[in-house]
Amino acid sequence: MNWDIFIGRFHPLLVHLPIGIFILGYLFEVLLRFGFKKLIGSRKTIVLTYSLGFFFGLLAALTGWLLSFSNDYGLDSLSNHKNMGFVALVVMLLVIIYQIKGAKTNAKLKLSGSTLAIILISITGHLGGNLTHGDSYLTKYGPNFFKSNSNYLIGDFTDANTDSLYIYPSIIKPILLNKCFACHNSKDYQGGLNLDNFGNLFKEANHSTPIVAGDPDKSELLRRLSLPKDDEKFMPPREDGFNYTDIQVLRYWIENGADSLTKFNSETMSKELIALLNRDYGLDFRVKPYYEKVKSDSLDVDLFREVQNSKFRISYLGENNYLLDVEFKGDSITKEQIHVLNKVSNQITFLKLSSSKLSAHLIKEMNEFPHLTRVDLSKNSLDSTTTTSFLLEHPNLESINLNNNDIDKAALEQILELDNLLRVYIWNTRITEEEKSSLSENYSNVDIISEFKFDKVTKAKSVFEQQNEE
Amino acid sequence: MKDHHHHHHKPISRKDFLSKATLGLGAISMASLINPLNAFGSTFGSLKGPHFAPKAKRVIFLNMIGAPSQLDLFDYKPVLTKMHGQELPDSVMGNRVTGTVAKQATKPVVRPLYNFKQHGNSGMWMSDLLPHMSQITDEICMINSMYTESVQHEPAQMFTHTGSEIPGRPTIGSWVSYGLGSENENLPNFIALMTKGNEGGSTRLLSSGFLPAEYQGVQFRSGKDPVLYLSNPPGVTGDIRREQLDYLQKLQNQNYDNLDDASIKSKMAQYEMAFRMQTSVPEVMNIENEPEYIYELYGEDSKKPGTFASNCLLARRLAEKGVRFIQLYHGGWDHHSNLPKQIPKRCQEVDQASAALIMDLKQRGLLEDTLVVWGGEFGRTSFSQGQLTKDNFGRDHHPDAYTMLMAGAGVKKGLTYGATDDFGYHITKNKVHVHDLNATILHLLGLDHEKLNYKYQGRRFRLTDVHGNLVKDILS
Repeated sequence: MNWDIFIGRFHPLLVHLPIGIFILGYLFEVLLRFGFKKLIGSRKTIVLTYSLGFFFGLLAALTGWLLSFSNDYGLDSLSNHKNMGFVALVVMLLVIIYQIKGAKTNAKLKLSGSTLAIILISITGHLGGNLTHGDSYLTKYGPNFFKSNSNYLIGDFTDANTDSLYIYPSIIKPILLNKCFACHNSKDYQGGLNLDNFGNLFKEANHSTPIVAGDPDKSELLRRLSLPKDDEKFMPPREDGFNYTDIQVLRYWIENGADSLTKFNSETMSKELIALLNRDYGLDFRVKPYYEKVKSDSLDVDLFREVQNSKFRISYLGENNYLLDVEFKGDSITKEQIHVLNKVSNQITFLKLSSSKLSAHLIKEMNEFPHLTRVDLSKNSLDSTTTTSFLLEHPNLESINLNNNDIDKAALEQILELDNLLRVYIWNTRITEEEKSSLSENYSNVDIISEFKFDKVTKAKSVFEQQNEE
Repeated sequence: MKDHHHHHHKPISRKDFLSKATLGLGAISMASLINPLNAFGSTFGSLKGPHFAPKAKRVIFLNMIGAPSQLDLFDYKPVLTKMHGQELPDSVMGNRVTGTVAKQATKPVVRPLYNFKQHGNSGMWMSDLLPHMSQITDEICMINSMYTESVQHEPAQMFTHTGSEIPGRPTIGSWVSYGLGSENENLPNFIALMTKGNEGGSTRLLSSGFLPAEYQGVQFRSGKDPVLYLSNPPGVTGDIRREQLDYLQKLQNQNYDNLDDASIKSKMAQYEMAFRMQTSVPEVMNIENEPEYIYELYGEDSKKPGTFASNCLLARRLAEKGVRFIQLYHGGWDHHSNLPKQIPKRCQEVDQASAALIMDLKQRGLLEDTLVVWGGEFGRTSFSQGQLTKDNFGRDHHPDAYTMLMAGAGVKKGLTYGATDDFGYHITKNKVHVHDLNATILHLLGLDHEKLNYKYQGRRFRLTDVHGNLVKDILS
């Protein structure tokens, strides 16, 4: 039982009475001033109404004073409201006295006093409203010029480099500013929480700590956001709650140290969080292809030309990606040409040596290609042993084209062990359809591709044809 | 003096040539042969290349000219069946009615004539009219939420190709060719194939607009003479032609020494290219050596030159040779009336060949870096145009919602993207504008649609004008 707070909480119920009644009295006074004497009667009507307003004003002030002990509100904005409330009350009283005692003829001066009281009441009411609803409540949905600077947009991440995105400033801070800042700022630190200062997130307020770095379950902020909506402690009380994505981002950030410089790391993020961020913020944390992660320098122009002049088509992957895409354009490749290729082996990621009469002997001349992700060796009549030993030296391979080579099941089995392999082409090799399907079952992460054949189709019948048959 | 020289060597402009020649289709290929602004081949050497690592290196665009009915083929709407014959609710129709049906008293909803089924691991819906495409749904990304600007064929086709309804802008194949350069110096970089007798598309769609004419699409025709005026005239042998070119080269080199005009070099490069094409074109167009099982894959039609199926087979051969952009055109999809009789014929012509092309590319490993796009210039209405009888109806143009298919490099497989309302009339989810599609195609090719521009008449132009958002959701 806590009598003062119990009575105090009648404050919101009572505050509207003095405002309404006093305004009514003011209306009477204006009408009287402009000659509606018949309607209003004597000035006594006005005095009576004002007195009634004052009485309820006293009650509101009393309950408000009791409520101020409850510690639920920020001290600065509370005291503004409180002081303004008492000033308004005093002025109201003076207005009433002046209405009774003041010179009968000076209606103009009387009206000015009442106008002052009305202004003070309005200000008090507005401050009180800000106290409970937050100071952006009134203007949030208004036209832009009218708004206080209180609506924060989360940035456009279309071109953001996801490797270098600080979680707190880019996502969490804007959300806190939007949803919490109105009631938790340096003027109005309700519940003792002031979000003006990053450090305050980690300071105890009202016997609990908003954020405990590394421990989401002990973080009061996260707990409050995740409560049932009808719970008294649910935050934010009057706004829409935090959405699921934002809560997950907050949780991830807390788990990973809750530093203002904590970044997203796709290795530690759950698949769910990756998908959520992609859906809600257009942030793409899906694993980049290997060839987009490797950094290398551009080639010497002469070397580039030398490769070109040795019957290779050579190109960089992109303007700032100097990995190479190389294709042999001649009919049969020579040892010398392979030696030229070897000069740029460190940078080749796509290599096409299809129909190049590449032999087992020549393949042994080839360097290791540390960044090789895609290789096309099709139409070369290569044997299993040479091919496998070459391919197994290239752990980054994602796609291997072995069409029209002398490859058997045992070789393919070895090749399928490559960690990063996604696709392998085995059309016109020694591998049979049965062998292929059994291997496909065992290596479900690799697409083993061979000749495609359609199933037999029957001519479709239209609805009319079907109806006619029935 | 300098001016005098300049005047002397002022090349024939493409515009002059086309307006004087009135050779129609052939003029296109010829124009690109003699145009002096060419940077093909070895003259200038360096190619521009992509902005960032590309997923696709080339595109095969299967244009279904006339606009196939998405409601009969792809976008399955059971409500149409339920409400067959009833008036399309005003609330669905809204205010916009095309001129062609404005005076039509009733607008009864029409059901799809053929059954739909779900296919593959993805459960993608497809009509029984496309039994072969149905078998490869796990390779396809179906966008059911396409929309475009124009309701008329030519402007809508122009819009899909150039990002503008009015002719004059470069077509997408030219932009790509301009942005990425060539991978095969013996063949044009941008080639179009049209179904014989059912061309649909016009050569206007191959125009490089204000881009140098070397980026213009070259139409390859079926039969003996794929590229007009490429063969030597009777009595002129390859040796004679070579000798002629060599002598011309000497003269032009002298000219170049005097004038230092780069266009002379590039003109010669074009002549050389044409000379090489005398060998390379017949070679790539000769499909007689294709094995029987390949003809089986593409279907009976593929043996008949000039059919869509035969063109699909050729498209694969061109893709193998590294041709950057291949446009196929197949007309006859404009079913304002008689849809029940017409649409099965069109499907018969394209279903197997389209699916075969995708799977042939796949089995060869070419789908790794080839993007296939399939679709028309807009969609068709869910109500009948003209009278709905027991076994006949038509559908009017509908630009507010239609379907495009994509398959291959960099695109999610088995994805059905976007959604329309119960009547397939308005898009309800994930709208994809033509500009968005074009931005996405360029992105897959490693090109940033905002960076790929060309300055002309004092301002920079783009394929996507000032619009276009990458459709990230369909990228794999």
